Amino acid sequence: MDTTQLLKGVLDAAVLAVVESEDGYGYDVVRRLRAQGLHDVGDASVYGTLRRLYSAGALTSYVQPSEEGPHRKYYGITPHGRQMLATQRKEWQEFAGTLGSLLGTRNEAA
Amino acid sequence: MTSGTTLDAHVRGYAQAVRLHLADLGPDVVDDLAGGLEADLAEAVADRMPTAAGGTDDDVVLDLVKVFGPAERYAAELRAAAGLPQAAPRTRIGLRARAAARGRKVRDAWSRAWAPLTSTPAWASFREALGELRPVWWVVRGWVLGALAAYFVNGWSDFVAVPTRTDQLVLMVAGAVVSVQWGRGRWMPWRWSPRLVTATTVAAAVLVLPLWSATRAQVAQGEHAVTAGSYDRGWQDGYESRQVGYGGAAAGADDGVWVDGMQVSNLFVYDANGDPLRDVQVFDDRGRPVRTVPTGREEETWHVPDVEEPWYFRPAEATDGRERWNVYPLRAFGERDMTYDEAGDGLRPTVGARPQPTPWPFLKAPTAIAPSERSAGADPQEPHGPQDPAAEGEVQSPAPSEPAGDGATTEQSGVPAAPGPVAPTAVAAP
Repeated sequence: MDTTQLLKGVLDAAVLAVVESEDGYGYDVVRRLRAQGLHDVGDASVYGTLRRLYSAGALTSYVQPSEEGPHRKYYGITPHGRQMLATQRKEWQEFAGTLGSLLGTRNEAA
Repeated sequence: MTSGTTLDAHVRGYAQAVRLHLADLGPDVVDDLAGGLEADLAEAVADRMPTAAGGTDDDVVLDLVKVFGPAERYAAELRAAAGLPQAAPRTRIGLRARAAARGRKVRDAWSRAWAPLTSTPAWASFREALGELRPVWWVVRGWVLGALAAYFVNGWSDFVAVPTRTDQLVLMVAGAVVSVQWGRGRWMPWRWSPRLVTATTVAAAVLVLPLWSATRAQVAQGEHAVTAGSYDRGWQDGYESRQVGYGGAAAGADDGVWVDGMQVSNLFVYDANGDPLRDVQVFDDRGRPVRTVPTGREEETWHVPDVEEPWYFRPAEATDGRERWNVYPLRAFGERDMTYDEAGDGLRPTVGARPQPTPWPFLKAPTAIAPSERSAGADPQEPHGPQDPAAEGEVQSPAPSEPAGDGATTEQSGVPAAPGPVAPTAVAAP
């Protein structure tokens, strides 16, 4: 199954979760998502998502000078973002539970 | 972080391409969406290709499209994730359709504007009459194209509606026949024949006016009709290459002195040694004074090569006080040295004005003439005619004693004799 299709629905929650633990800039968020196992996540998708969440008031942003290279635009989570994340977490767990029981636990590929 | 300038350039180029695909969103959104794109891209490259971005191998040409995909898709992904509308579909496909729609609109507006006229019964009957006259247009169309064909066959001369030669007539009649058959829907063997007919119709419609005016011009030329084209050309060429001329119109263009189709403004005479002579009176074979400035045109300005200002020629004055225009070289005055005499004597040089130095073609004639042995051979046509003043009396003695008529010739050579032994007037030295 193409995980990019699955990702689309949950990318907001994933990005919010990453930023919740620690503020991050664009590529930093991408890197952390990949480090968590979301290898197929697209750079541009993450940047676009960050921008959309920022517009929706779920994220705040600030520019931080870096020792080397250009200044970085960091994103941090807002209270509204936390609320959003909590809702999505709950929804995802319900959905995952439903789908888990539907599909079963047998792994035929293994 | 990479230090590779090549990589930097690639990153900048890619980011720029992405921004280009976002441009329709406006600069603010683009900035928001792709603000730190270069830094992110560079870092991503460094993560994925540590060797390339490590700074050790600066020359590696990175194809960022291979890493991130086409910039267009990257931009589309950004848009989609950011919840922004996708770029409008390329308009190139719709260009023709849009042009057609616009054309329809213009046509509709046009027909609406004329509706008050075109909806009348009179217009309907006018259109009907036009429809019945279509065969006339078929003939005209063929005739015009036949004339064009004849024009082509004759090496682009004689573009006339009225055939003067058989081949013209044949071509025009053939053109008319073909055109009428086309009009009747016959003789169209090829699939693209209708398009050919349309093209010829347009060509004929465009050519009707030129054909009409060319024909009218040739009819106006009367007996020159057949050669009118070349006559016009020749005349025009002569006129254009005429290096000197009156300031005014070309009327009376045959007056004055012409050499090889060019009008002469002034004459310069050199003696046998090649030295310039001044105040030389010149007469033609009929005893008429040779005037470069024709009678009645004395007060017109001249344009002479290498002299910017227009100038006037002034005559020499004879001892009896009369003006002599056949005394060369003529003296010249610049335009601003001339003034109109209050007394009504016409144009005169202003008081104190000096003649302009007339540029002699040569300070000294390029060749000297050997003195003639047979000094009695008074043939004025011979190039080595006697120039020595001492011989002049002898030279002129065999010539007729009065201005010669048309038939006056010397016995041996049959050329006209010199007009007279002594010029009728003496000229006062200026």
